[in-house]
Parts: sequence; structure tokens; C-alpha cells
Amino acid sequence: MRSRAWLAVLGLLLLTGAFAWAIWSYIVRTEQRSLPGASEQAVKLTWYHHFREEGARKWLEIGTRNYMEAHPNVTIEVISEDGNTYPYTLHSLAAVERMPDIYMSDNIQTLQEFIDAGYAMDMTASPALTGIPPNLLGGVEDKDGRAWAVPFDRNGVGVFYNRGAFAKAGIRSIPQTWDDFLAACRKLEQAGIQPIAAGYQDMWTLNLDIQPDMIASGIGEPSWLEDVEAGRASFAEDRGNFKGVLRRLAERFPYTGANPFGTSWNEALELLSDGGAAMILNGSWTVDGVRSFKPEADIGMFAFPSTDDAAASKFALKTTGGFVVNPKSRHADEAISLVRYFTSAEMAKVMQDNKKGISISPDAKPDFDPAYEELDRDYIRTGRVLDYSSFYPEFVNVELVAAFRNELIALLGDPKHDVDKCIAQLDAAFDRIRPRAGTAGGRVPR
Amino acid sequence: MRIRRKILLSNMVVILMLALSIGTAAALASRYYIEANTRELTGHVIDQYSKNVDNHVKDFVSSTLFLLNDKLLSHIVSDREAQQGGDQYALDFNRVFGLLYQYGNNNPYIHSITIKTESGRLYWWQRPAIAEGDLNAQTAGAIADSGRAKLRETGQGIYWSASLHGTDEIALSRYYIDINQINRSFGVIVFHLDKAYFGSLLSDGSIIQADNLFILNENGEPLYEGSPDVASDSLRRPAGDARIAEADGRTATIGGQRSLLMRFRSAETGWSVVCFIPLSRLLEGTRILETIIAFICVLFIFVAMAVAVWFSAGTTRDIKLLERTMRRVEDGDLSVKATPAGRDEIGMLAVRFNMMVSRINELVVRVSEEQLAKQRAEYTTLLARINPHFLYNTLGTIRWFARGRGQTEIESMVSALTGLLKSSIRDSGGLVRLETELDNVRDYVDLQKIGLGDAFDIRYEADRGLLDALVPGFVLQPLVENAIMHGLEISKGAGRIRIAAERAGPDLRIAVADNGVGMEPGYAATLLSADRERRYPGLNGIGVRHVHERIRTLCGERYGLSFDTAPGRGTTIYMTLPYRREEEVC
Repeated sequence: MRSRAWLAVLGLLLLTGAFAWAIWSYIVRTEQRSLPGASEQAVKLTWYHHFREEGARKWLEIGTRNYMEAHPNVTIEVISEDGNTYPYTLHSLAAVERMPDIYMSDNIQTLQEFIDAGYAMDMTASPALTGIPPNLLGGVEDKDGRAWAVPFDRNGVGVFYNRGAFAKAGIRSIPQTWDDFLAACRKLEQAGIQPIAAGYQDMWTLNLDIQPDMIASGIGEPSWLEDVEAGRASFAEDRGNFKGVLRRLAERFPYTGANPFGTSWNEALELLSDGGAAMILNGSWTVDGVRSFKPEADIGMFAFPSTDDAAASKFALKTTGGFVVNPKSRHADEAISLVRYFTSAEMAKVMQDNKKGISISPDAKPDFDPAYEELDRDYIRTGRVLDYSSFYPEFVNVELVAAFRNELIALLGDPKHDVDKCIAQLDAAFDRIRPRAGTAGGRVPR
Repeated sequence: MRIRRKILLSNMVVILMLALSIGTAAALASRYYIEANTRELTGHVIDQYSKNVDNHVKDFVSSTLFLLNDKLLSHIVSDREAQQGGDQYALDFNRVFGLLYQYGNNNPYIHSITIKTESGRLYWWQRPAIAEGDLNAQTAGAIADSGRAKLRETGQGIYWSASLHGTDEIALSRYYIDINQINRSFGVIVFHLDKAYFGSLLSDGSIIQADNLFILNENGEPLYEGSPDVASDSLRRPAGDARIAEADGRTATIGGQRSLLMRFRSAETGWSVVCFIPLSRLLEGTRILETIIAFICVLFIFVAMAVAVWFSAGTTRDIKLLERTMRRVEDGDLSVKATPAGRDEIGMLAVRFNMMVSRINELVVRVSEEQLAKQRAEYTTLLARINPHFLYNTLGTIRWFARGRGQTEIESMVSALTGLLKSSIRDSGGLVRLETELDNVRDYVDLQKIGLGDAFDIRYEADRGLLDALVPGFVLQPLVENAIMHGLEISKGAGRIRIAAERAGPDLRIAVADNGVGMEPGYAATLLSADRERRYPGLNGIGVRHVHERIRTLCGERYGLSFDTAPGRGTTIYMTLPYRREEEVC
């Protein structure tokens, strides 16, 4: 009887223990379920870009969405900046050490200061560059041959025209010389068509307006801009045939409509798309911009004829700076992975279909848009291409860029369009910003 | 120990165990969950506070862009004028002072700003109200050099640290970069801020108090030390950083108090917000809860005890009643009954007990009645035996008297009666030959014929071989008497009685038949029942029934009498006996 009682007590104790253990296990399991970090670590990437065109934004949207679907732990915040403010934004972000994980660069020249400040990852040995032909790395390689970004397309600057408008004005062939160009402008004007659409309200377009001419005129002396920026040369020296560039700018300015400084980039694109204007001097992204307004617009492109030598007229093409990965990013590996995805054949097609850029992917087909017919037929196949990947037709220092732009505006605002006066004012403005023949300040140690 | 006490005791043990286990479990669970919830809440608060700190850091760093973007300041700090030969340091200092004043005055937390250019020129501004750490060229230079050293050492462009001139302030050192060309620096700029810049983020009543808060930068250097009394150097030193990280959400002894140590590391800045909350403060809420739980437990115990007492009393009430009733039954009172309060198992036990006592009482009554009847029968038999002897002697005297007077009929009658009585006295309890039994019947018939004359006739039909069969004595006479007295219609004078004996297998069957009035078969059956004797006591009452009982007693249940009768058709009584010729038990 007593042993039975002991057994009962023992059983009760075991039962109590088992019950307590079960409760405790439940509590622990519940707490473990509620603990964060059980799943894969959350990653947030920030990506700054300066694309204004609808197709380019769509390309980024599709790519980032696909990537996030394939990587549920990754969130990508894509921040779009205006082309005018993009350099300032990047400088401000660098100044407060909050550079994004990924950002876009147009060329190695403007990227250099970010490289120096430690905000660009050396991609030379990165698998993200695998498969890209070395001759397409001109926009991302420094003088030492190190690649600091991952290119994805080729940009070109030239003249983008509405074929219907040209036909309406009776222009049967594209202008091959500067005189032809001005003659075409006159014909268009006579036909009631605005010859050139200029969206100078977005002031970056003014820099792009003269880029085809600056490249064609200055490619023979590619360091002149760098020397002027560094104070080693002046505008007055007229290196890179810069005076001619300004003169031609002033000569075609009357054909840019009644209010070019009150016209935005988008309004200029719309004018070109519906034939209200016949030409835009800008980059190949113009195609994307026009298509966003009128997908079936009949547009084409030709090289800016800066001289009277038709044979010298070549289309200016370069590989872009591409994607830059911030090495200080907390998720640099994930950023590289995302960049690699954007260089895939799948995303190359998405890019061509939407951004209307010329992909550097070996699998990309050149006939993705009829606007590129002439470029392919008359320039690329015939070798009339001017590769300006190593020549940056702008200044790097944003203060100098602003000063340069201000003087261009002053030139166009000058009723006499006095080129010499503009040159003198440019030198003065630059001298106020940077000391002539020397650099001020020390390098930021990194 | 009485059962009631046992039940009560066991109930109390169960109640106490339940109350103690539930109370303990509730107290432990409440303490655990309050601690866990507080830990979680503290985590959230620290998380939020840390985000606020991040935002403050961002805001302040962003605000420095105003200085970097200031064209005049940047122009002076870039030393362009000096390079261009316009050395106006005194004037520049004054202009810079004014610019820094405008900037610093807008933010009350800024105590001082120090700038040292790449060429070594110093500019500074200090809020006048700040008592400690007056700046001069020497201290400003030391601050700037110290800031530059920090930046070089860490490889960062912006670095937060403790004061660079021994004050209770927070310092921010950064390169004065050219905002237009970020790879170019004009010098170093150092801001000293009031600690309250971060301390003011704490809200009143928050679980995080200023005195239990530490903020460490990404290298583990303390930026904000809440309590100077806390002697936990490891908390402040970078070397202790790892230990703190391990102690996240755990308790540790800090400043002599057991405290919950929480830490949140910002992914944005890499800073750690370390907060230790003394357990005494943390668990204040549990004291009240534990008191409430204890009170509820005590209340539960009291209520449960009262219920247990009531239940145990109710449970044992019927047991006690049953026990008292049993004692009375033991004392011989079989009429007593237990009336249970409930219909539970014990109540049903009492009901069964009542039924059992009732059955016992019934049996006792029946046995005593049977004994009484038996005594009465024995008395009657005794009387019956005494009376014939008295009559026999008297009849002998009468017989001799009648012979003396020559009354032969009377003598004959008396002689027959005497013989009958003699036989009755001698053989009524044992076995006699059938022949003797038939002689007794003849004597009786002779007597009756003297009285009744030829009103009936009797025939004897028994084989001679059966005459020596043994039959119980005095069994035929009652049957014949019954036929004469009740069966025949004497007044009509044509009565016939037939007595026949025959073998029926191993049995002897004797039939006594009359041609009298007969009777209903149902009535005939009652003649053999026990009630008959009760209704007609006395010798005659024994009659047929006793003959029947005697045969069954002597020979077995399958023997005895049976009737074949109907109204108007006479009656035949069959007597079945085992055929025996030797004296033995049937």
C-alpha cells in the first residue's frame, strides 16, 4: 500500500515536470518565432540616377522589381534626380558621407573625384565586367587601366530629327556640312516648322547642345578642357576650336524657336515627336524621350556637321560610365550582384526595348528601334564613328560647370552674340573659382 | 482516523497544492513576462531613441553643408586670397567669426566651431556663455590637430568623439571639403556640442533615463555617459564593448545594482546606445501583481477550504446515518430504516441496506409463524392421541356394559369403534398393510352403516396380492369419511363408494370413488392447499390435506392425492404410493 502511494507521488511529480517542461517549451518556441533575424537578413540598397526619360525609368523599375522578386530580402530604393541637380546631389551626399550604394556615372572624368574620395569600387577584377569587350570600357577606365564602373550601353550625341518634318520641308538628304545644316534650318523655317527644339529651361540641355560640336571640334586635343579646368590653359587660347563651337551655337540659336529658355526638355521632346520641331541636338536618349510621347514617331539621327567637309562628319559615340558601386556600402556584395543582373542579356533586352539605348551586350540586336537605322547603316557599318569615350566634353568641377553654362547663356542673350567677349568672361569666371595655373587646397586623405 | 477527517485532509492538501502551484506559476509567469515585455519595450524604446540619435546625427552633419556651401567662407578657407597675394588674416578671421557666429547661434547646442586650413590658418568661434574651455589660438590649434588626427586614424571624413579639449562636450570633426569637388579639402573643421544635443531626445517618464544611458561611437568610445557614478569602466572602454554586446538583454551588476543591460547598434552610424535599467525599477510593477496573486490565492484557499468542509460533511453524513442504523439492527431492531440525504453511492447503499433489513425481518416473521403452526399441530396431535385412549377405555366399559345387557348391536358398534380407535392410536404415524388399512375402513363403514343404514354401499376391489403392501396408517379412513360426509347424497339412499387398489408400474394406486355431488375441480385443488388446514382446524380439518401431506412427507413430492371430480359426476380421489412390501422408508 505504501509503495503504491510512493509510485503515485512519483507519477504525479513526473506528470508535473512534464507539464512544466511542455509549457516552458511552448514559451521558448513562441519567443523564438517572434525573434527577428530568423529569416535572411534584410538588405536595403539605395540607387541614385539622373534619367528623366520614361523608358529609362521603366527599365530600372523592371530590373529592380525582378531582382527584388528573386531576392525577397532585398529592397531597392531608386531615387531619380534631375540632370541639373544630379552632380550637386552626389556632392552633397558625399559631403555628409551618405553616398548611395549604387549610382550612375556618365564618364570616368566626372567619376574621378568620387574615386579619389573612396566612393567608387574598383571593378577591374569584378565578375560584373566579364564578357564586356575591353574596347567598350573606355568610359569607365582610368589612365592606369582600372575600371571603376560597369558600362551597359553606348551613348551617342548628334542631331535627332523628325523624318516627316524634313520631308515636309523638302529636305531629301540629311545635312553633311555646316552650310547644309543652316540651309536645312532655313527650309524648315520656311515650311513653318521650328528647325531646332531647345529645352534650355533644363539647363543641362545647353551643355548637351554644344557637345556634338565640342567633340567633333575638340577631339583632336582632348586635354584642353582638363587644362582649362586646372588653370593650365585659358579659353582665350582657343584650344579645341572652342570659338568655332560658340560661333556655331550662336548661328543656330535663332532657329531654336521663340522662347528656348522657357521650354523644358520634355516640351522639346514633344515638339520633335509630333513634327512641330524638326531637330534636337542632344544624346541618344532623345529617342527614348520622344517615344515616351509618341511611340510611333518617325525619327532618325545624323552626325552634327561642324565643318564644311562632309567626309569629316562622324557620329560621336562612347561607352557610358555605367553603374558605380560604393565600396563603403554595407551591402556592397548585394550591390554588385544587382549590377551584374542589370548587365545580363535579359536586362540588355529590357534596356533596349525601353530605354532605347544601344546595349553593349554581345547578345543585343541593333535593330531594336527604327530610329537607329541611319546610325547603323550610315555610320557604324561605314566606320564613320567618333569614339569619344576618353574625351569628356565638359568640366568636372560643378562650380566651373555652372560658370561655363552661365557664360553660354550670356552669349545667347547677347544680341551681338560676341564670342570674344564670352571667351573673356569665361576666363574671368573660371579664374574667380580656381587659381590659374595651380590647384588650391589639399586632397582629401582616404 | 475518521473518514471525514481523511477526506477533509486530502481535499485540503489538494487545495493547498493547487493554490501554491497556481500562485507560484502565476507569480513566476508574471515576473517572466513583465521582464520579457519590459525588455522588448526597452528594446523598442532604445531602437526609437537610437533612430532619433541617427536623425540628429544626420541633421547636424547635413547642417554643416551650410558652412561648406558658403561661398565666402569657402573662399577664405580655401586660402585663394593668400595664394593670390592678398594676405588679410585679421580681416578674414573677423569675417569667418561672423559667419560662424551666424551659423552657431542658430543652434543652441553648438558651443564652439574651430577651423584649421590646409595652410595652417586657424579660425574659431565660441559661444560666450560657455564657461569651461576658453578657446585661444593654442587650444583651437590643438583641437583642430586632434580632430585631424582622429580623422586620419579612423580613415573617415566625419568623426564623432568626446570633447577634444577635455570638456564635457561632444565633438564632431570633419574635413572641410570643397563641395564642388569632393576630392579636395580646404582643411579641418571641429564642432563642439552640448551633450544635451542627444540627452534632450529622452522624453520624461521614459523607461530610459539620462542617468542609465551611454552612447558609444562606432569605435566604442563614449560620447554620452549618463551616470558618472557608474564605476563600470568596461562599459565605457572599447575593450568592454564586446562584453556589452554579449550582455544584450541580460542582467549584469552595474553600479552595485542588478540591472538589465540593453544595447542597440545603429546600422546607419555604427553607434551603440547602451542602456542599463536596475531590476528594482524594472520589476516595480510585479510587486503589485505578486501581492494581488497572493491575495487571490489566500482567498481561494479560504473559499475552497469552506467548500471542502461542506462537501466532506455532506459526504460522511449518510455514512454516519448508515452506521447508526446498522448498530440498531445489531441490537435487534429490524424495523429501523435509514433515510439518506442524497441519492449518491452512499445513499443507494442505505436504500439497499433498508431492503436487506426488510427481507431479514420478513424471513424472521415467517420462520416464527411456521414454528407456531408446527407447535400447534403437535399439540393437536397430542390431544388426538390422548382423547382416543380415554375414549377407548370408556368404550371398553360401555361394550362390557352392553354385552351385560344383551345389547349386541351396541356392543358391535362399540367394538368397531374401539377397533378403529385402537388402530388409530397404534398406527397413525407408521406404515401398515393395505389389508389392515382396509379393515379399519370396514370398521368405520360398519359404524357409519349402523347410523345411516343402507344409504350407501361400499365395494372393495383390491387384488389379494396387493393386500400386504405397506401404506401409511390411517390414510384411507379420512378419504372414505370425506366421501360419506361430503360426497354422497345420503338422503337419496343410492350412494356408492368404491375402493380399488392396483399396481401402476412401481407405484401402488388406490382410488376412493363415490357417485355423490362432485365438486368444481378448482375447489378440489384447494382441499390440498395449506389454507384448508387454517380454515378447518381440528382432526377433521387434517382430513384429506394431512393425508396428502403425510404421503408426500413420507414418500416424496411426486406422491400424494389427486382428484377427478365435477359437479354432479361424483368424486374419485386417487392415492399414489410407492409399492412396497417391506418395512422401509418409501
